Amino acid sequence: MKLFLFEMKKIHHTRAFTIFIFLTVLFISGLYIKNYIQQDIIIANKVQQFSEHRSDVFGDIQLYRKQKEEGLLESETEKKLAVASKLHGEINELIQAIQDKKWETELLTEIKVYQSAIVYQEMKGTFEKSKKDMLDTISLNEELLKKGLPKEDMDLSIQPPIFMKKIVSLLLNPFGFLILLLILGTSITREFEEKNIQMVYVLPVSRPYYIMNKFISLVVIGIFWLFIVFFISYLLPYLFTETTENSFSYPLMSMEGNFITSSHYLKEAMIYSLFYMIFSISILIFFGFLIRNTIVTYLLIIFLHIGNFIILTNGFMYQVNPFTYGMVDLGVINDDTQSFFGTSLLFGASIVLMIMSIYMNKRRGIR
Amino acid sequence: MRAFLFECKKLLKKKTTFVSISLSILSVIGLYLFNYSVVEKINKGNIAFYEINLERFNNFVNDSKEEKENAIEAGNTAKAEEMDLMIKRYQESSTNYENLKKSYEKESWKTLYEEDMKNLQIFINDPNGSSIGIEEQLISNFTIRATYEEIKILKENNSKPFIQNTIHDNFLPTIYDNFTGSSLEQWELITKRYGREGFSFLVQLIQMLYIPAVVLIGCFIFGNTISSESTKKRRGINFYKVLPYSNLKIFVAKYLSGYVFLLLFSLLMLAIPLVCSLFTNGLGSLKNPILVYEGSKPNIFGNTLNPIDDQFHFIDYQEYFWKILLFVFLFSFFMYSIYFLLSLFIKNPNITLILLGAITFIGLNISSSEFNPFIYTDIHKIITREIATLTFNPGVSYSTGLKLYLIIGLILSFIGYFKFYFNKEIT
Repeated sequence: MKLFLFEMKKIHHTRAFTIFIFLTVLFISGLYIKNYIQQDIIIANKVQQFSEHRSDVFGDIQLYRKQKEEGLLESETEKKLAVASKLHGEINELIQAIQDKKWETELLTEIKVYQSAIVYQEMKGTFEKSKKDMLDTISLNEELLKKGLPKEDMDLSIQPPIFMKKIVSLLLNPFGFLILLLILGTSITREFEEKNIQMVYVLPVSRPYYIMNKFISLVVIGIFWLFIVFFISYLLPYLFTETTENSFSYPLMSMEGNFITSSHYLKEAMIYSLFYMIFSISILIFFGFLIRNTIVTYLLIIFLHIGNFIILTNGFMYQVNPFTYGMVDLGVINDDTQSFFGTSLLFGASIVLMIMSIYMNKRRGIR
Repeated sequence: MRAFLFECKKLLKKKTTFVSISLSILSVIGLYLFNYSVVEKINKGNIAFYEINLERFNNFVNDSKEEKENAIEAGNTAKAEEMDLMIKRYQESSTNYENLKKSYEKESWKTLYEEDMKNLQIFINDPNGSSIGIEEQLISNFTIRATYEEIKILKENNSKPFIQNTIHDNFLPTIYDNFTGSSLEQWELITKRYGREGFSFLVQLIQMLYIPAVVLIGCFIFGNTISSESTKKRRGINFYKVLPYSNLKIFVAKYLSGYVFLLLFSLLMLAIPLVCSLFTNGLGSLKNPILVYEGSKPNIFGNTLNPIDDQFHFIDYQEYFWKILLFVFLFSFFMYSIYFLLSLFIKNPNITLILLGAITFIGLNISSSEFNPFIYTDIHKIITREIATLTFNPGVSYSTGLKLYLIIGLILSFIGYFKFYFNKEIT
């Protein structure tokens, strides 16, 4: 216990971790303030989007009317004119509902608009939105109406669960974990470079015990950082935003088009990030005690993370690759990843790495 | 000079230097091999796609023949004639796909370029009449024109194109397209380009911010010449202070030795993919084109891009790589001077690296002013004038960036020297 507390004290004294926590809080607060200020942009963007659709449809209506005046209108085109006129009216209703901030009317009207738009597209009318996206939006709106929740902008929302999801995607990814490892890892490699480890190894403490204490102290620090990330991203919207009742039931669409609640998403995100953090720290312990050099250890860890990021972003997501779960947001919304399998894999890999670290350092000298 | 050579020798004698460089080389080779495997996979996929289309049209021919026979038996000559026409059309398409597949397999690109140009010609001739789209969202006329011109240049030079996840019209993605939702996903999938040859792969890497990453890693390896010797435990700098060397000589020797190694490291990292390509698909041609935007003229609607009237031109790889080379010299000088200055204060390479990375990231995103030196970090977008076009700021140019790097780099180096000079006590 004393050794564990001593390790914690050492990390705290480096000030780097304290500054890192401070910067994390600053980043989350800065993002929240930016989103808070830009709330009006959400309405403006929606109005602009539907205004463009409205002008496309109106262009078609004018063309059909001109054809009608010239007596060139066929029965097919007359049907198109009728559908286009109906669609135009519905878009006007929708824009009005958005501007009046009547979310229920907005959701219902949006469903009507897209249903009419799908019919209009089948008649070869102009409506620049893919059928798949419109069907997805209709499903989402129906789900939101069932739960009695307004639709949120996934990038600019200040509701707690959506804001937390945004923070998860921004911070809990290979680069976020990489920065955490770079901050924490100095406590291992520096001891070898500055020969402090010689003093540690003459103490009546076994090496496996020392390595495990190092590991546990780093894990505790990592857990503290994760706690700060989730806590601050929840606290700020909770204190300063008018939160919607039942907001944690907000439906999020998975890659396969199924819905998961945001509470389920956040639970899985916490589990994945915890186990991935443990796995990352075990990699750090393994390479740190193996190589015993700051620059080489960190280069190896940087290349490992960047390499896996490149592989993942090129669509190669393998469930048996533990680094897949480093993209926490992707891992949760991917229906193929199972949290039990993923966490077991990460935990198993961490144990193997720790055993290897302990075994390699059992009798190895210090030079 | 002696001090400089001595510092260089010290850097070379460190095991860390060799291990770090070897690791970096292995990583780049690994990256090249990964890209090569992806290229091969896409290649096979495209050939399979040709085969699927071939089979589809052969099935259409067989079905139409059956229908024709049924029509003849039923005495329906009109239907039989119609089926005859359909059979001819399907057979033409089938033969066409067969030829295209053979051309693709043999890499006779001229045939494929001619086919693509023929398909795009209709949209070039009538920009307001028709267009091609991805799930109801149209591809801009600018993109179609740029793709057509690019294919024309590739055909003239008989060069290999980038490989893309499509067999139809290898579109050149431009800033004039505004896809959303699943259309965007599909567009990104079909327009993601992978270099088959050395030069193309290097262009692909440069677009992925490869040069800033390499320079940051180089700074991490070579930028600690003073800071590593002035910590509480290691006070090697004190030895220099008692030698008959001026502070300026010590500073210049340590600064320059680190910078020279950083530069050589950066150039080595740029050369490794080219060397790897010599064992696979070769270097490729230096005459391949790179699109450069000419910007949009202000109009009555304010600053908006005009996909029909806006112009562009192409530069070849040779001109592009000369610009990249000069950029590497000055960008590495700029980043190294920041890293060196930070390391004099912080003395922990990890923290210095994180800080420099964070400053670069924030600088890249915070402002698009021409006086923000970090906006020039994405050099591909500067050379192609993408940032200047999107921000309607012609001041954001390649030459402005180089001048800023040189001036700011010199200022920061002087500040670093003064910090070193006035740091009399090493504790």
